[in-house]
Amino acid sequence: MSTIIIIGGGWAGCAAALAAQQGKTKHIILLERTDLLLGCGLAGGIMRNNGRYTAAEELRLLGAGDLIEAADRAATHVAFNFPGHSHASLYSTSIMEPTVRALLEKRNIDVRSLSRVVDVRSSEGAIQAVQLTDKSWLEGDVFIECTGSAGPMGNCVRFGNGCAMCMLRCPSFGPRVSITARMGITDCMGMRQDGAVGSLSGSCEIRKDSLATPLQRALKKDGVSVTPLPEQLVHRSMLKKKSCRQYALPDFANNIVLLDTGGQAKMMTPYFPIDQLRKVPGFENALYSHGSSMANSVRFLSRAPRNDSMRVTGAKNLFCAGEKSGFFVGHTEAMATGTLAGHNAAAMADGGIEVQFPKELACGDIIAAESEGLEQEDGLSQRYTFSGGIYFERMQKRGLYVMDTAELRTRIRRLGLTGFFAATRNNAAA
Amino acid sequence: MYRESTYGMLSNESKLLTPSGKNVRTARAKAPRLKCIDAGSDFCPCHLAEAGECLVCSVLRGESECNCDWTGTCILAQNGWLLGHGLRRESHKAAILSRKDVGQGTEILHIQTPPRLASQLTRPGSFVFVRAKTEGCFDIPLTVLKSFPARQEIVLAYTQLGPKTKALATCKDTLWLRGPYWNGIQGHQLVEDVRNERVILVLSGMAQVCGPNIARTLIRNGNRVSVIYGTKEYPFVLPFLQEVPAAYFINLTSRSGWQEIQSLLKQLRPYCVFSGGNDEQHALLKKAMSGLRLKPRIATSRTHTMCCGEGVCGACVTTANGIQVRTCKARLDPDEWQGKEDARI
Repeated sequence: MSTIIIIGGGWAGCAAALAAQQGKTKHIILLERTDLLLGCGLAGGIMRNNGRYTAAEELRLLGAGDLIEAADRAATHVAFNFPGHSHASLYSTSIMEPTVRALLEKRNIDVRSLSRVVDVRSSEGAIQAVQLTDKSWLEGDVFIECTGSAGPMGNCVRFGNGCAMCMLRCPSFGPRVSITARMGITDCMGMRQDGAVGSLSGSCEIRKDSLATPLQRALKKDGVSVTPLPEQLVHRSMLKKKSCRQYALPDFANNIVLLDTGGQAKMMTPYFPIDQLRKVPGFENALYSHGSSMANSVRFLSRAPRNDSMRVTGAKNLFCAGEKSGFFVGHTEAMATGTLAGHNAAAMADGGIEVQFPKELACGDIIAAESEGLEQEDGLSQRYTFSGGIYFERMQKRGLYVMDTAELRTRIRRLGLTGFFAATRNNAAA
Repeated sequence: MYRESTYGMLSNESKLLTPSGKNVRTARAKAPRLKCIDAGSDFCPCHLAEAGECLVCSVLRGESECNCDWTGTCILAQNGWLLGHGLRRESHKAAILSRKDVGQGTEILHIQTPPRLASQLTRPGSFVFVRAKTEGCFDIPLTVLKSFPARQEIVLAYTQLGPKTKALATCKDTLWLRGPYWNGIQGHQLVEDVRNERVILVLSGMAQVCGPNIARTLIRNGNRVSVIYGTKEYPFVLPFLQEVPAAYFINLTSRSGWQEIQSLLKQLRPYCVFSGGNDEQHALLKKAMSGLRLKPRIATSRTHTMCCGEGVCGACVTTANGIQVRTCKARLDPDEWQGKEDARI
């Protein structure tokens, strides 16, 4: 029985674990350094906005929609609009993690939390085993790196404003360790629009009960509240620091945009000094829950070289997904890359062939666009997301932004890919 | 409004790395990830970090990659906040409250210290540097036998062997004291993390002074502790180990003594063992545990050269798994010394 080891239990790692269940029986081990799955997704929540709707439907029709459906079930608000974004839905960050964990356990995935990988043993580009913090070695046949691109704290100090005590919780659970770097493969680092290294997470979390009652009421009713900022508090330079290009719009500099993601309100700015924030009507008693008034996690510091089937260049049995695999932003993007990496890892374990998403689908096109973009002059400062920025423009130009599920169904049927991932999984069950 | 820290940090980065503004490159260009005994303490960043030799922070060492194994406060950040260095340990005069000869040239000293220092010295492996003369070259590292923060005193023991200890015997009511230091044992992780298990301490020679601090930590963590004393020397730590109910006296220099230890190990089946003694004792205990199909989890007293205590002078540099390590600071597990110990025996 082959063993597939997935390092990192964020959205990409979870998607990879689910997609790796195919062909012959396998032992799928998902290693997560903290005590919770979903990583940055614990402070996320935004699904199906703009092109993400299409990508989510594509994944569903391709048979890899388990996580999409789980997020839909955990939704607090559906089909609402906020500045620059249409038909968004928000999942509750309070109930998403246990839902995903239950799903993985139901599918017999060996989820091991508090298992931080610190080193690898490899020869001639093939990994044999990964080492955990307790110095034990875990041997596997194929590996998938979903370690993300943020942290450790030293990077937030060097390239940001210090540790913001974000959802990654490095001080408690230890730093992220790059598997590719441990193998001697050189990663590249993202740049910001303003030329600095890495970029800050685009949002921080505010305690809902610290907001004024009308704001709380608006959040509960509509899922969103937009409060105009007084002119002296508008700082457009912030937009250049954001990793989330889709939220780097003037609307987000001129207003405080809050989204209701369950227990917390998501404030769409990397950070905002609390004394300034409290001058804004409705925020007189505001308190942060994660993130802070002066810093946020720095991301996009580690992007592995890869081909379009998500295999790491220079490694024989290592795949990558999520932010580690490219300058992708968002959960839907992580699920798409994770699903492909998981499928191909399982195919490699069975001696099968690696596949790529066709470029006729948004999921395939974004992976190709990110690879192509890296070659360009400003490649390191670009970010790719279905929901905005340069990729959403390309998606629209190529006619890939489709809101009609029936049309997508036809498109995928013509490609012969209807239920592609589900079919391979059912074979495994059989 | 916002701190434009990114540019600030980048332009100041060279200042952060070393005071001279240069990225100091050393033989440890791609150093292994080590744990440092001082990381997270008041004394971090230390002299080594200042010299671009931090054991933990790869960035302070001048590497481009942020690649540590430390889960505490980021040492790079701390270096920035503390403008390049933490507190420095300096010698101060301390009063000798009492001294007692326990035979065989060994003397036990009760010394007055500030309460904070006494509290810091309750940790397993705590030691201080003391000297009788004003010259720094008379410093001797002495393990803290017991510490009483409430009474503002610590207990030390030494045996007259050479010029430093003989000078110590002649000093009357004060001595020079520098501390706290913590790396007097190997295997801190094992000693501090073990919970609700059976643990055996094997104490002989001067290394028995490590016993009381370790025993107290183990008992606090719910472990059942037994002590085996090697009877060659008088077990002078006995009065300080009253909280341990089970004690055995075995002659470790005889073959029959080792047979007795083996039968005790067989009977008690400890989860782990602390060996306070020489390298040979550590190796024999490990061998005995392996022979009984017990996992050879072992923490040991240190037998390596300690001179400045800060890793600066280089006297403590030794090789673990083929890598040069400054053992004054590095938290090593005895496992990592396996090759060296075997080679000696």
